[in-house]
Amino acid sequence: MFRFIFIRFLQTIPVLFIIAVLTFAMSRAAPGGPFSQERRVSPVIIERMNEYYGLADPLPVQFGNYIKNLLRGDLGPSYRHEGRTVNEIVGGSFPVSLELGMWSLLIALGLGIPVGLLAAVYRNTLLDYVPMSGAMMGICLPTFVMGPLLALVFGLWIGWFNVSGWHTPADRVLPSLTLGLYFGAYVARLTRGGMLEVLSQDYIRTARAKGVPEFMIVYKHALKGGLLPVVAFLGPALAALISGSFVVETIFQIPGLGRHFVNAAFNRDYTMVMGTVLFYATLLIVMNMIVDILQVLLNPRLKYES
Amino acid sequence: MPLLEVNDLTTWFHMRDGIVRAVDGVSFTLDRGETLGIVGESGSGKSVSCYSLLDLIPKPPGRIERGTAVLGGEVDLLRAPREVLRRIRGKRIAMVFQDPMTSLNPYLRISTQMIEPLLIHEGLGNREALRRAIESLEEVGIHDAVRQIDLYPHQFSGGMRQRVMIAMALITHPEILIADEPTTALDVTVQAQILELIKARQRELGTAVIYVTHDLGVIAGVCDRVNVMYAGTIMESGTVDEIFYNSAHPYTQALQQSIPSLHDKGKSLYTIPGAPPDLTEERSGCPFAPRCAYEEAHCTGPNYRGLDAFRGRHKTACLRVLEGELNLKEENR
Repeated sequence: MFRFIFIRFLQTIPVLFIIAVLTFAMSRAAPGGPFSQERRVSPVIIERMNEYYGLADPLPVQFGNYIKNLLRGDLGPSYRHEGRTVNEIVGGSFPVSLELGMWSLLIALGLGIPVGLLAAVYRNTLLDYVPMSGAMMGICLPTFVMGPLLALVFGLWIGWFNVSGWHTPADRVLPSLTLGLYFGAYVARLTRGGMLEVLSQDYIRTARAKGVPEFMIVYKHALKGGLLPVVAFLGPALAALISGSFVVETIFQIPGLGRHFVNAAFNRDYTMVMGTVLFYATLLIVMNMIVDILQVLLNPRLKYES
Repeated sequence: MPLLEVNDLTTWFHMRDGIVRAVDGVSFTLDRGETLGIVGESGSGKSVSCYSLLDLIPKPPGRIERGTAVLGGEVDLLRAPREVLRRIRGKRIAMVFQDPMTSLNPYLRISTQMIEPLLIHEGLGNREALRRAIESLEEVGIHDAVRQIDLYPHQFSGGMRQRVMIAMALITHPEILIADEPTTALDVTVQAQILELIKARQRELGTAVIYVTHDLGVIAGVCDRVNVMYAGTIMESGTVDEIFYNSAHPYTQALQQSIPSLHDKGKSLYTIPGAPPDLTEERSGCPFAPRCAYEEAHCTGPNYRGLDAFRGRHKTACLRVLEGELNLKEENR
C-alpha cells in the first residue's frame, strides 16, 4: 500500500504542473488585469505597479518565478487584497470551509445512507417512493434556492437561527443543511442503486438459503458492495465540499474559501486564482487517492494499481 | 411417512404482461436419504418449484398460489411463519446453487461464510464453528483447509468454490440438500468429481438430495427416482430404470432422443419440433400436445387428468398411455 501511495504521489506532480500551466495561461489570456478598474488610473501608475509585482516581465519568466516560489510553498502576494499573501488568505478561509464541509458531509452521509438503505430494502413500497421523491427534489433544487428557502423559514419565520453570518455554533446549521441535503440526496440515490444491484446478486440468495436473518443480509452481506458507488462519489464530492461552495458561502455570508475562488477569477487576481486552483486540485487528488484506498479495503477483488 | 411431501404446489409470477404459470400443480414426495432428480428444459419450472419450498422466489412478482409442502409430517413450508422457515433454511434444508462463481459472497472470506450457518442455527462460538468449518472443508477434499479458509472466493477455482458451497450446505448436517444444477457451470472433468462428492457425503450423513438439472446424464448417474418436468408440471415420475428403459411419456422419450451421444456421427441431431409453450397462456389438457408425435384430439380435451399412477409408483401424465392406447415400447420397436 505504501508503494501505491508513493507512486500515486509521484503521479500527482506532472498533473499539478499541467494544471498550473493551463491555469496560468488561461488567466493571462483573459482580458484586463488585476489593476484595471472602472475608475481611470493613470498609465504611469499601472506601469509602476506592474513592474513592482513583476507583471512586466515576459510570461515564461513570470511563470518560472511563480513555480520557483511555489516549490518553496509560497503562493505569492494577492494583487487585490493589499498586504496579504495568498497563503494567508487560503490559510484563513480554508478552516471555515473545512468545518462547513465536514458538517455537510455528516448530514449527507448520516441521512443519505440510511434513507438509501431503507428504500432499497423496501423497494417499490411507500418507504421507497416517498424518500426517493424527496431525494430527487433535493437534487433538482439548486443550493441557491434551498439556501434562501431555509433562511426564510427557519431564520425569518420561525426565528431559530440567524439568517446569515458565521459566529455562533447555531450559525453552522442552515448552511450545513443546505449543502448536506443536496449531497445527501445524491448519496441516498447512489446507496439505493448500489444496494439494489447487490441485493439481486446470487450470493444474497445463498445467504437467504442459509437462513441468515434479513437484517444480517443487508448489514453483513450487502452493505460492503452496495456502498461502493457512494465511496466512488465521495472523493470528488468531499473535495468540492471542503473547498467551499461559492453559492452557499455567499448566501450565508460565510468567510470561506469558495468565495475567494470565484472572486479571484473576476478580479484577475492572478496569484489568488493560481493558489486556489492548485489548492483545490491537490485536495481533489488526495481525496481520490483516499477513495481508491477505501475501495481496495472494501472490495477484496481489487488490488492496488498504479 | 415421507420426509417431504409436496402437494399441488403452484407458483405464479404476476408480470406486467400477464401471469407466468411457472409451477402449476406439482406433487411429489421425498424419502429420507433418497436421491430425487428433477429434470426438464429451461423454464420448465424445476428450479422455481425448489425455490418455492424455501421461500426463495422473488416476491413480488412471484406468488405461491396454493399447495402444501410438509416437512417431516409436522410443518408446512408454504405456510410456515417467516421465522420458522428461516430456521429450517440452512439447518434442515440446505441448497447448493448452479454458479459457484456468483453464489459465494465476493466481499467476505470463505471462513466468514462457512461458519455462518453454525453461528445462526447451532449457536456455536466462533472458534468451535471455525474448527467445524475447516473439518468440513477437508471432508470435501480441500487440502490445507486451515490456510485456504481465510481466502476470498475469487482466489478459488470454480470446482473449488462448488466444493466450498457443498461443504457449507452440509455443515449443519441437513436432512435435505437441494442441488440446483450443481455441475452445469463446471468443467466436464470436475463435474464427475462434484457428483461423486455429493454422493459420498450423502451416504455418510444420510441426507436426502434433490438434483435439479437438465442433464439426463447426471440423473442416470446418481438418482433413485426422477420427476420429468415440462411447462410447470410433472410429466412423468418413476425410478431411473423406469424413466430410461420403460418410459411412459412421449416427452421423456423425446428428451432422451435429444442426447447427442446417442446419434451416429454426421447425422443431424434430433430436436423436439416446436418450442416450449408460452406460460402466460391459459391451457387445458396436455401442455406437450402441440409438439407431441402421438397427439390426438382428446389429449387436450376435458378428460386429461394430469399425473396419475401408471404402474405402482411409476406415474405419467400422458392420457393415451394411461388409457392403454399408446405403448411406447411397441412404438419404438
